[in-house]
Amino acid sequence: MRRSKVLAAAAAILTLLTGASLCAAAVTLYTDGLARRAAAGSSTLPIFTRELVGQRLLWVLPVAGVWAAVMIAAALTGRADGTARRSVSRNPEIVLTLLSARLDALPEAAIKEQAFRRRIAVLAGTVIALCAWLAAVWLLDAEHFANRDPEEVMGPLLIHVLPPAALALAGVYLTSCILDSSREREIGILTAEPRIRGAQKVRVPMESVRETERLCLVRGLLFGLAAALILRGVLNGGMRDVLIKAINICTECIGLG
Amino acid sequence: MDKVSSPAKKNGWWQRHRPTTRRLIQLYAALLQNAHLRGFADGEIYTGPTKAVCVPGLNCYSCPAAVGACPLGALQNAIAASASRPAFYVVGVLLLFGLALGRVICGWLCPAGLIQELLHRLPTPKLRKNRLTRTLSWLKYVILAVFVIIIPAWFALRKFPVPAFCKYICPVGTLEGAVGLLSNPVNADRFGMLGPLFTQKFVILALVLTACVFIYRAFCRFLCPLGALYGLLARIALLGVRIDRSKCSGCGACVSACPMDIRRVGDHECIHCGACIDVCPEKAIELRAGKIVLKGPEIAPVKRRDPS
Repeated sequence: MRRSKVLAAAAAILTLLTGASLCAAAVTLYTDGLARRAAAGSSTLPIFTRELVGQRLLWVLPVAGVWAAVMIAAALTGRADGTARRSVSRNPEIVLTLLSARLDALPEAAIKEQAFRRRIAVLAGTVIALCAWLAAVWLLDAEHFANRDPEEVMGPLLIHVLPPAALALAGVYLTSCILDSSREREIGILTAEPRIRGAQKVRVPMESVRETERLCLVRGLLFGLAAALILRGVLNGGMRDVLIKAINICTECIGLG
Repeated sequence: MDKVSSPAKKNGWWQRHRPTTRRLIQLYAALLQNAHLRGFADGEIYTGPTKAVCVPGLNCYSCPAAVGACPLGALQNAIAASASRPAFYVVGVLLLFGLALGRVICGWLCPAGLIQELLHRLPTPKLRKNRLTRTLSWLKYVILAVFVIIIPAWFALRKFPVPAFCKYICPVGTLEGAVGLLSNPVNADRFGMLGPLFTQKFVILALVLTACVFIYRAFCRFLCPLGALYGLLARIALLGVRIDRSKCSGCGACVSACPMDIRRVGDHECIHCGACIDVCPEKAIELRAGKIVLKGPEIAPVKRRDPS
């Protein structure tokens, strides 16, 4: 047990080291290349060359070699995947559904918790909508994309879109914290309820036939739409465009520059 | 300590590492989508007519072995060219894939998913799913909206194609396309093109690959806009894991056992890997295509009566 933990810790450290040394190799190669350019006074001097990349990879090789050796040892000794068991988490939403389904009428405190959660959800929804609106106002303004150089656009775009996006995600996180703690409180209230004991097994409500039929209808319509779009696309040359794009190496798309 | 070697112990390593049906399908799918393996030796990409067809998973079409087009790259380029020609074909193909297979593609057919799962098998401590990972799973929808739709669409109006996700983020393109091509000495002259963009994308690739070792499908869960796109069609997709509600007791074992950030089985985060099928105590979950059951709970073999 202890040996596998040590192996897992060593593997984690080596993985982080390998990742960090790869990043450092790429960044230092780039900065060295820029310095060489500045020293030579030439902007056409290549930043990366095969030889330079090969030399820099030799630095990474010892760490990567040890990392690979540890991984192989772990796999051969049967330690591999030992800590990769499926994560286990309890979903308070499901627990709550189960508990509340066992009661005919919810206690007053539980109803208050539900009302509190509704208010929080509305508040969070408003904050997220506000963040989305802030980002959308910037994104949907054509003036911000007037420059033909995408690099000139990307800087201001990140400055204006990242903060609202981060704020919205923080809102989602905070809301989920508050909602889950409220659910936990409600679970506590319901489990303390004397009527909950000795309850029958709960069954999840069945999907209605009408619901299933509606789903099939929507699916069928969308399949028809997809087929029509593909046919129209083949006829208007969209398929040929895909072929032309795919058989030529787009150096910009894969990050070559 | 018990030193008796039982047959189970003898086969322990193989039992634990034996590839599952899903893993084999993932491997076959990855090979099928990258069947032109000669491309790695030649240092050139495949230029045959099959490249006109989009593959279902995220697989860069500049990978030397790729025989099909990446649906996400094709979508961005189609949006970029939409000022002159509406993107009917790519939208139709994506809709078809999403309706027929949904996020089953992520769990069973995507080569990027396979790479991430193999990395996650490395023996390191793992970060379990939690509230933070669940929050971050919404990030891919922001990336879909901004980098796949809005930026290419705005630049399309100026007749200037910018596949923003491919260009600034996609680590799959860097791994399969850039590294795949640059690793061949034939392409030594391409090193001269490399600059800040490659440095940025290589750092993203290294960070994503490292994260995948500790976090199950980190790229898929937090960044992949293709998964987000298929996730939008999750409710109406034909193929996927389905719960027999007449059997379900709502115990939540399925959600607890799932490594993805799902709230319930089959939602927009579910990749239909089928891990929940075996843990359901009520045997209520099946992988179905309409009414056809593709994978159900394993039924315990019937014990034969002793003839004596």
